[in-house]
Amino acid sequence: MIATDPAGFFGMLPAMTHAVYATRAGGFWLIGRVTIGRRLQRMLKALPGAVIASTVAPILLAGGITAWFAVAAAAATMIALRNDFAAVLAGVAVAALARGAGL
Amino acid sequence: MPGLFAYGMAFGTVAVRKGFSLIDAVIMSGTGYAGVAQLIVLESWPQRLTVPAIAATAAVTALISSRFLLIGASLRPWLGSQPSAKIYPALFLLTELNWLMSMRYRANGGSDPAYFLGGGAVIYCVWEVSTAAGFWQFDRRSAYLRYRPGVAGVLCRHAGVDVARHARLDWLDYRRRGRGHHLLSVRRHVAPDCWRARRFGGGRLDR
Repeated sequence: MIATDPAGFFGMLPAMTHAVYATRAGGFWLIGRVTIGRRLQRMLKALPGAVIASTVAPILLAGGITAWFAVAAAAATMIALRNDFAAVLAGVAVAALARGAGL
Repeated sequence: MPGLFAYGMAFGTVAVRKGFSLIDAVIMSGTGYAGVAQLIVLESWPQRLTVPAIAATAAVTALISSRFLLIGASLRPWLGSQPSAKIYPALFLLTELNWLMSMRYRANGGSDPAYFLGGGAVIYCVWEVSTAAGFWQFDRRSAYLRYRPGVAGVLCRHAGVDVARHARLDWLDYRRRGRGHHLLSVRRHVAPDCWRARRFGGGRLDR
């Protein structure tokens, strides 16, 4: 606790800061060390989608049927309207409706 | 953005429960700036902050934040041509949100790196403000002294005064009569208690 151990708190801060900054800058730095060929280029292009998919997947698994409906609604809106705000609204609305309906 | 604010407030709230002061919470949000990892670290805050405990916490933080490795890598084709003296400080502000916005901006034909930096700065400010807001809204509802150890609180803890008991009484007092009176009564009743307990080597009752 900070109240009883200020020295520890101020030891914890730089430790956390460095750990997180290392990951923030590390990926960028590491990929700069290697020459980017055609394969790596394609991989980097696919990365954003992969990162998003890996963020959504646990939510889908944990959230059950409600989450599936919400994500499906958001995806359908995105495909139809190409507007991310509309997609978010649709997802939240469907999630609220599904919860309200007792799913 | 609302989601971000909610997370920031959650962090602020947990920080109150863990006995952090507002300044501590805001500093932690501002330097660590680790999002969900901050919450997890706070929930598993070690009882005693030894070097191994700190190292373990740093390792957990790095593990949770390892998604930034991939995210950072995907920024290379765009920002790789920027001078590193500019790009590495800017990477401190890297989060999923401004990364996602930058990717969209790029897909629509934009290429100004300032977009990434500006988005990051806005998100940083929102994070700080939401931490403070979460702290404040919980702090107002919680017992005054227990959760906001000022000088008197710290002294009491060291001296082993039962802060929780005082806090319960004080909280009623605080609600009834307002802050000015409350602080007066703290000075009159709690502070001498601290002093007495310390003098006679009182036990640590509040743990």
